[in-house]
Amino acid sequence: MIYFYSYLALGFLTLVILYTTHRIREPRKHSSTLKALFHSSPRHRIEWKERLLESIVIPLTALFVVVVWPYALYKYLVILYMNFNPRPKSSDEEFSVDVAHLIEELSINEIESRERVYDPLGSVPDLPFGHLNSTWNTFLHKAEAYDAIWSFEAHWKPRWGSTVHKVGYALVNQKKHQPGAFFLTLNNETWPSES
Amino acid sequence: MTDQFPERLHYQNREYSMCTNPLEDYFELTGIRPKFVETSSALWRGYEGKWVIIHDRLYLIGIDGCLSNGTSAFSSRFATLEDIFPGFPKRVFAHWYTGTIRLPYGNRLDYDHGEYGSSFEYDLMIEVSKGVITSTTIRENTVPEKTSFSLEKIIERIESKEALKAQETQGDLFL
Repeated sequence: MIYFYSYLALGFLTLVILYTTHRIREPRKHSSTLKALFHSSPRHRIEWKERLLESIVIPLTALFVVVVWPYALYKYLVILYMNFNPRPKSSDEEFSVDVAHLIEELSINEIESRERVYDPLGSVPDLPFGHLNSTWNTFLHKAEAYDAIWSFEAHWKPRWGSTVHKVGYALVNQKKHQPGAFFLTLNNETWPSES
Repeated sequence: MTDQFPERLHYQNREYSMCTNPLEDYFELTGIRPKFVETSSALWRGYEGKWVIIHDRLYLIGIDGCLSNGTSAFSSRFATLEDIFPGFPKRVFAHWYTGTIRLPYGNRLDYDHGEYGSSFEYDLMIEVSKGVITSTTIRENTVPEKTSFSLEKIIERIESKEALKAQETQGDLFL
């Protein structure tokens, strides 16, 4: 019987360790001011189903960890390992500019003069691309020797989700005519009825 | 998935719930997303934006949310517009946004627990191109096809229905 109690004690200890590490790794999600704000809002309604779920799932999970703590510990270590060693994304999960997307080659001056943003209320910086100016500058710093800037437009269909309309500028190696880094000015998800 | 808190839009002297998140497009274009703290399962994005349309232009005028301080796992602070748009504490022109803004209006017809999945009697659809309003359409969800109505006529119909209900109730009181 002593072994059984020891087993449960280790299970409880595992539960405490997992909970503590979770609280340390995750930032505090509720501030007292925000809690009061949300609870006072007429739009905030906790469905009775959610309450029931919370009152059942959390105790059940705790019980599961205590009783089956070797398996729970194993799963937690697997998750930790995957966090530190993420699986590299496959090429079809990330967008890249293709030669077929390219429209025309432009100089930096031409681009910056046509992408100036005007606002009568002065709520945008008087710079090329407005609030996106710093992103544009970061993109320009990526240019290497023999790189030219081309405008592009693409309708990209990721593995999951609907088609995304992408417009922007890309760095193209003039020797290889191969697009590389790009800067987006439009990233609009289109629905089947629109495409 | 839990139904999410909408954004807020002030348009034509009315406050609307906005079932579109234009600020997410900005984060997508810049590739930088501030570390908002998720304070509720009904607010996964971690913030609520306040918007206004002035002279057919879309502006962001406020943001309610908390940013993780980064120095400690237990600290956070309220986000401001300047955290995302330095030098613009009060108003930001949403020139990066092109798309359709949906403003549900009227009685709820159907509740869906998914993000913005619930349907209402009407949807005010505002087409935006680079932050500028190009067109508006009212979609009535009780009929299968899109129908164009003026917003004033829709409001009149809803108010007259409510007045009729009130009259019927008063009539019952005197029975």
